[in-house]
Amino acid sequence: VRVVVGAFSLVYLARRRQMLAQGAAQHPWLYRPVGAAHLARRPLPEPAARALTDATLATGVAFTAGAAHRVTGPAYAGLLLWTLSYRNSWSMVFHTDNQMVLHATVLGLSRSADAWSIDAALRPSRNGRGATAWHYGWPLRLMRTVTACAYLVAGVAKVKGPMGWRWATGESLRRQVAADGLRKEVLGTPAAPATYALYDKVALFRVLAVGSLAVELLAPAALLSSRLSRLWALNAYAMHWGILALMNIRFRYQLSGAAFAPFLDLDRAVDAAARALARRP
Amino acid sequence: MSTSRPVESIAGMAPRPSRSERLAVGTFSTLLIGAVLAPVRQNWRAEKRDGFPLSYYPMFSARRPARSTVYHFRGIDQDGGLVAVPYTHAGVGGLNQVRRQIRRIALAGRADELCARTAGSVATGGRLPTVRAVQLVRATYRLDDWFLGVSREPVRLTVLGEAEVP
Repeated sequence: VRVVVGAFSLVYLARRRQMLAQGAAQHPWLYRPVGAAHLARRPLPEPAARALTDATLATGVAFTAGAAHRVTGPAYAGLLLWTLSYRNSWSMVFHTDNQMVLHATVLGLSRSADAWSIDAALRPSRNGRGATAWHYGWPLRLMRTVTACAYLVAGVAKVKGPMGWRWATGESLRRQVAADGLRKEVLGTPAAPATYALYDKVALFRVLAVGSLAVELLAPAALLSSRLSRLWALNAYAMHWGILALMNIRFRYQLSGAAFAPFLDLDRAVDAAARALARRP
Repeated sequence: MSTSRPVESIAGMAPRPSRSERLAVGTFSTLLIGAVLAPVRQNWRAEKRDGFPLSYYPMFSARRPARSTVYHFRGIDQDGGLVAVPYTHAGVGGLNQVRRQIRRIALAGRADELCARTAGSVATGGRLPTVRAVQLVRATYRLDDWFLGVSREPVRLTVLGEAEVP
């Protein structure tokens, strides 16, 4: 899971390196710090922003590779929190980043590099000493719980919003989808073709709204069993692909599947794949 | 490199976690879960405030009227025709981030400053060679008209600023 989350976040940051450093360049007065960026009352000078972004990338490489994890794990978690907080301090909070930061925090502060890591390769005898299944289980349980809680909070926001439970009628969702598509069009990027094709399908939006609320509000209940939680993760994953098709909004961390990696038994899958490969003549 | 599951492969495993470890993990887990759930209180507040990475996830929850107002740029070409100006000319970041920046800049009375900057970007961008001027507008559209193919004209339009493309 560390490798999956680390690799995703690393690519995500690397592709935005220039933009992350340039955030302050145009309108410094737009800066409104959120999260860890409250540490800086004013925008950082561009070289400092660039240096911190690069430090995040460097520790991200070490985190993903599992090198000196006791140092680089917490360091990456902290720097990722800083970098994305800073990125989100320019008029817009990207909710798509939240889970990634929370997952990196749990992984960075746990023994997630005792396998599939440079640390494990260099010091196989010392590595994992004193560890039990509990040490490797709690981070995954916590990541699953944190994920489910975030979806629950999103669901509560809908039913506690101005529409109340009438949000489930789908009308608000339909107009939200349309308003988002309209903004895209006038701001020079095309709306999703499905926005046009489905706009007058009110009943479909009702089904989607009820489905979304079910995924969000029932998320904690899905933690009761591993099978149920995997089923929930599959539904949440499908919901994000639905949002992409309908609105052309990319929840990249979720769409990649990395957000739902804690719900899967990746170690067992990798072991099974390795055994299958070994059996091949 | 070790590739298999550490639980099964590492000698000298302790039979169970220590009490201090369980206490530390329990405390950390409780704090983190509590922190993720805490923003839900925003829903009961008159003045809501979003945060990162601890959010109350307000997206999709607002009441959406049948009309939508957007601050955006439009280009005027040599024949007087109108074209959309991509948001990338107006700021750095994703579409919604730049959209919000445009709105804040306009509300701050700095539309002309942003128009000049955007016109400069259009001039050097090369993707809108026929555009001779850019306008920052506040436009209200009827969603049904737009998406049912009735009309793409705004029902209300205010030009907030304009700049010639150099």
